[in-house]
Amino acid sequence: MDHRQEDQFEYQLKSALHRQEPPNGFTVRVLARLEPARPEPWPQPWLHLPSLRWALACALGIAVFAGGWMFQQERRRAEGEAARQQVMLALRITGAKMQLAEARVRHLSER
Amino acid sequence: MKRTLLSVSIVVAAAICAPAQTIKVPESWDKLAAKADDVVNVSLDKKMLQFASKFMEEDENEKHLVSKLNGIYVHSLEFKNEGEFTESDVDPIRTQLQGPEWIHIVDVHNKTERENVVIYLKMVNNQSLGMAILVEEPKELTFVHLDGPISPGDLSDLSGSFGIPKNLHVSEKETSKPKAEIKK
Repeated sequence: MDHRQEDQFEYQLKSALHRQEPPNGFTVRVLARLEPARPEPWPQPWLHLPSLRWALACALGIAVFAGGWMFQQERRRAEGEAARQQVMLALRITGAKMQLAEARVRHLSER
Repeated sequence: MKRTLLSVSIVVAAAICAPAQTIKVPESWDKLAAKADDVVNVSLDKKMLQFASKFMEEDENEKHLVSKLNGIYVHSLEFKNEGEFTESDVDPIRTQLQGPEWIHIVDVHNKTERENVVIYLKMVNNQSLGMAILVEEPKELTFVHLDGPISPGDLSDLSGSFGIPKNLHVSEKETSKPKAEIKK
């Protein structure tokens, strides 16, 4: 290789390794490619639907109200039954004592 | 006119607001209850009776009678041994039934059996306003007070129910008699 050829080669090397400014938007594009892929969104649970949430709240409210009402009714029925039993007991005792009185009166009348 | 109306209103209001005149059972009965084998204390006021009558679907007569009463009070003591109570335990009740409105319709004293059975009827203006039964047996002491407009007819309607004899019938004439006492 002669001196002229050396210069030629050096020139080609310099021009090949010459610093070049990147085109506009290059950095942004590279960074965009580097951004990690966003995870796939989870499938939205059905409970998160607002209308369904309202419906569930309403159903729960109705169930609580109905349960309370039924409990009250049952308690009232039990109290009523207890009162009825007391009346029956009282009238049974009354009846027994009246029967005793009647038996005594009849016994004495027959003598 | 206004004054008459006011007086009537006051009387009516007083009648409505007046508490039911129940016969007080002496405190000694509480001590007797401690000694008794079997104790029954039933105390049902008008409110409770009306409540109970809603649950008495079987018989209209029972329901009708119970709903018109002002109160049912039953105190019954059953002892294991004889002679657990004395006359002093019963006298306070008898005293309360001495008023002119209380008439004896049945008064049986059996010395052999040592039983006293007295049935009183409360009569006001020829209307029956209550009934009381006082029974002393050797091992048992019972007091029943049915407060309210209970008539002999009501008892006839109830005969056959609750152990009330089927043929029990006390006529209106009998109840108007001042006293029907049979003593042995």
